[in-house]
Amino acid sequence: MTAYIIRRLLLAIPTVLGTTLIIFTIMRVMPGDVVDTIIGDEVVATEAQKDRIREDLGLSDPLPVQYLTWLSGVVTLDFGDSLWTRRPILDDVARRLVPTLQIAVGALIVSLLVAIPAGAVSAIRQGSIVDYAVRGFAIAGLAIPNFWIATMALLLSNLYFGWIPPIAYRDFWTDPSQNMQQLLGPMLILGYALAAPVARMTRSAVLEVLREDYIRTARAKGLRQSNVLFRHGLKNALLPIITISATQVGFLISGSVIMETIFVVPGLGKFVVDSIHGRDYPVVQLLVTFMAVGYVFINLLTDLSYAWLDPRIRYS
Amino acid sequence: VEYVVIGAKEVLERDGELGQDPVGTGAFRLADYVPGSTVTLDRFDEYFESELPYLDRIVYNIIADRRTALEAFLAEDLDMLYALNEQGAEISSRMGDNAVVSTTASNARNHLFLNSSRPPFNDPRVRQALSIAASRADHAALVYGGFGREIGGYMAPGPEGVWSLPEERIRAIRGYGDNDLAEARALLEAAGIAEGTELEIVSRNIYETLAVFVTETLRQLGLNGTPRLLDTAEAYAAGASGQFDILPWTAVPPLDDPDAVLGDIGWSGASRNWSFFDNARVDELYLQQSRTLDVEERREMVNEIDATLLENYASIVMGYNVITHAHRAQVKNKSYHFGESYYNRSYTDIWLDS
Repeated sequence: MTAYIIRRLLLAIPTVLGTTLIIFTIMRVMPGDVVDTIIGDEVVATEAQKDRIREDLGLSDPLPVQYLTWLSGVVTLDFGDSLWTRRPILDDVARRLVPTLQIAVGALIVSLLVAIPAGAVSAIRQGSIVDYAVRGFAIAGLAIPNFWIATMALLLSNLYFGWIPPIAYRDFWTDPSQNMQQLLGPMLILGYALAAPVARMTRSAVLEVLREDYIRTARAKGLRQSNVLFRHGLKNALLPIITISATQVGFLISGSVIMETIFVVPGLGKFVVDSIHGRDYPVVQLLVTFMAVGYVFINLLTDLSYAWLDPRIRYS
Repeated sequence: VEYVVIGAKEVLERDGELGQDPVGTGAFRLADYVPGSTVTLDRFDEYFESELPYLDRIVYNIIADRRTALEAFLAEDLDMLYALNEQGAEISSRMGDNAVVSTTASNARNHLFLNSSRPPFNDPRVRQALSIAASRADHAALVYGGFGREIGGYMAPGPEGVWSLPEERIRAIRGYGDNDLAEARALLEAAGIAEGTELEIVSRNIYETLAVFVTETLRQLGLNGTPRLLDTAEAYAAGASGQFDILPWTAVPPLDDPDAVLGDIGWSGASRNWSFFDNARVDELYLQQSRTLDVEERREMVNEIDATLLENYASIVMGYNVITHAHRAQVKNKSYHFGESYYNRSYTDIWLDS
């Protein structure tokens, strides 16, 4: 197992390096100049002035030099400064990572707490009104856009209760109540969106497992239905559920952009989008690199969890 | 020079720039900044006017989603709001006397930059045809939510704009009065523009409504155009490189001053001369007015530049927006003036009535 993990981690290095090269190239070949966007609508600048700004930002070096300079900075944990704010990128990323992680973890917990029981009950009661209700709930979660649910949540809570979640972000340790009031909405809405495919997957996986011989054997032995379901059925049905949940992590990042915008959360998702629009190259490069590392790590954890759930799977 | 920043020498020497440790001369000082969330300013106790300011603290909430900002204001979580024009009515109806809604004239205007460096807009008749076809009233209704000024030149219209070309002179220019599709079509025909001609419309993604308006105007003329909406950086690059036929754009010159406005979008050397319009007389007058101290003499030159640009359809000025402001009734002594939202942020002598 240890050898397998080491091999996977070594294989991750070219993956992450490739990602850095791709994102560096994409950012540089994209039309648009960061200097123009920094100057904006309201300042008149000559080409010479723009060139001077470009030089100040380190953008006048040849591209390979820029890439290697940036990469060597990353390797030595010097992630550089934002082209826009001139502040160290890591400070902003660290600050913004916290609410995004809170939303992502909260949404994941909400989705699993809702989806797995709902999907399992739906499978056990196949064809019943409960089954139809769960399937309707899941399809609605897939069909209704997050932004609509979020906007309606704000509008209706204001109309009927004269209340909306706080608009100023406070971190959990400074003001846990305000923090949770602000983040609970995004967690629930994203959790619901994530629960929809997971519930459907749970239902189909449990249905498939319940038809297996070992389930019939367990029942024939006289085990209680709950034992059959939880000890023999659900554990074996978890493999596809874990796979789909892991792949949804990307959805949590992209989906959080909209939630962060509507619920005024200064998170990482919106930071990525704003940085792309502003052509803040080092910020985008770093965030994408972090995401690539995150994906690699989550995929590794997912693969390792297979062996834990199914003893027949062995890594060598 | 449009902005002059006054800062502390020791900060510049220490940081190499002024942005990280702002030093100002105002009545409030920066207390806290949470990127993407809030900017907090505290009362500066040593302000030179000893009784001012009245407020102890101002918190700016950075809210990107306009609906969220509106709901926060309606829920009375905010005292003031820079609203969308169409939100004013909703605020009034839901808050009644608890809110004060007002609009002020602004220097924000919509231009249709027409690429005169290549066909078909290198032909003045085609530029004129588009100006005649484009309904300023429809534009104001669609893009400004029924607000705004329909007629204006390069310099902001009076009485707020002090350098404006008189409205009757603007209206006398064909294409700045009533729109006439038949006349516009005749001009296109004379210029040899066939029905169904494809035109490349490029704009910023935040100007989608304006781009849609242009597309519809072209359709009425029998021309085709599919807007390509780009993010800011890409749109600037497209504008500067001339990769478009029509570039609908909102320009907001920071000052109602000929150097600021015409230096940005008027003369051939302007940083956003995206129509690639080149007129020796305009250039001569632009440089001359910049060195002229007599106001009336300068105004005449500026008016001539404005008229020349409009008569040649260097770009088509579609109209001027207004700014809608709202504040809770308990906010006292807040007044707004011409310009743009950036300039209406003095809180020195306002107070809250409990």
